[in-house]
Amino acid sequence: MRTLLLLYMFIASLNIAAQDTVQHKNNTEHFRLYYVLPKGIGNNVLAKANDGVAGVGLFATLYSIEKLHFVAGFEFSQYNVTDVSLAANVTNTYLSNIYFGALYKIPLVNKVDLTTKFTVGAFTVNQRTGGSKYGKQNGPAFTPGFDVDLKIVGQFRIFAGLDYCLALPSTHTAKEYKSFYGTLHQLNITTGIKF
Amino acid sequence: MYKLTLCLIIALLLSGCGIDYEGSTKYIFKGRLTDRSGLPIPGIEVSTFVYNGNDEDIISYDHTDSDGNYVMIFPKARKVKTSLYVNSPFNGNTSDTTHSGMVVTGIKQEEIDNYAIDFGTTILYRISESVNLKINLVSTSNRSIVKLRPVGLVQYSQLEYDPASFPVISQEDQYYDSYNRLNYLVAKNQDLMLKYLLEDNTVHEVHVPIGTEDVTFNLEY
Repeated sequence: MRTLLLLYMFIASLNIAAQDTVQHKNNTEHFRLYYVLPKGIGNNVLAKANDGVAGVGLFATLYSIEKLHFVAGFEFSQYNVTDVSLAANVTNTYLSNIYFGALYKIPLVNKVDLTTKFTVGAFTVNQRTGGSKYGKQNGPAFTPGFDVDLKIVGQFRIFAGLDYCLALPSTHTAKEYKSFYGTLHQLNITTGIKF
Repeated sequence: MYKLTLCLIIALLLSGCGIDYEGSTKYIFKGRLTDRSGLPIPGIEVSTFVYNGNDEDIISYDHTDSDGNYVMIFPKARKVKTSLYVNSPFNGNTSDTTHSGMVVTGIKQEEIDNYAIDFGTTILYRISESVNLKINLVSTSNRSIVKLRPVGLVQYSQLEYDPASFPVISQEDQYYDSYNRLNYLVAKNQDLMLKYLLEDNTVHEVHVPIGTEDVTFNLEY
């Protein structure tokens, strides 16, 4: 939690600096807080031996030029293990992703924008049962996605979107299972607020 | 000073807790269960047990499919003894009481080749086709038996993964096998082998024919 707070403060300070140097735009997005409905897809351990529960994320804009935003953020999600023969005899799988990326905002109609994004992150898979830890895997993650937002008042917007996440955590196992544990695909629904 | 000592004690206690897993390394245990006629046995629980001297885990389990196959994939655990439980009541779950069970001990994770062990076909027999085997130990020397194993179709038999490691009395033996059993439930109509270790570290084998009646066998050593 302390790491998360420090990260948030770091990102917030960068964002304040960015606001000082970049001309304010009406559709500039400074912060985003969002809920994630995670779902593993494809033939991998997330999809075949876990069920997505929930997740949260936040990011801040570090710098923006017109409709292009450079962002940094953090996302955390939880899965329940459903097949212990494949995912080990643990209760939960937790995923975290610290990422940097870019957004491009496209105005659609009055008060409604489409935002496309691509992020690259440091991805971690943790498995736990209560306080017991069962090791972790680290690797990169690549997340293209999009969302549609609706301006409510001022800079405050609500949004809903879809992210595809390809994560490649480090895996050492038999050749026939390497991809099953080392190439994870997710299709995550996101919804939240921007301001 | 008191707080520092307390912190050190807490740190030491925490550092000694739990089994140390390496999440990025996944091991695979697989195999097949059949009856004596070679027909697959579905629905039997198979589990992987790890023990580091202080803590223990059932790190994975599976139930055999319609073809009798099982597969368990789990993270590597450091510095543990690993055992395979087949239809065993030791893990606290309900076992299939109509078939025999067994345990394979002495699996060393550090020595697993290509991250996988295929245990091949394991035969379980129907408990209804059992007879009793009673072993009488008849000492003819000054050496005592320190380890005794019936090898064959035996209810709750405990086998070494590496048969060559039989002379070694492992930590698991002390944990699970503090005494050598002398009464066994065994399958009818088989040629059973009794394998035993004497205190001078010599290993001996003797065959025990099992028919359709209970057997009392005098083991002279």
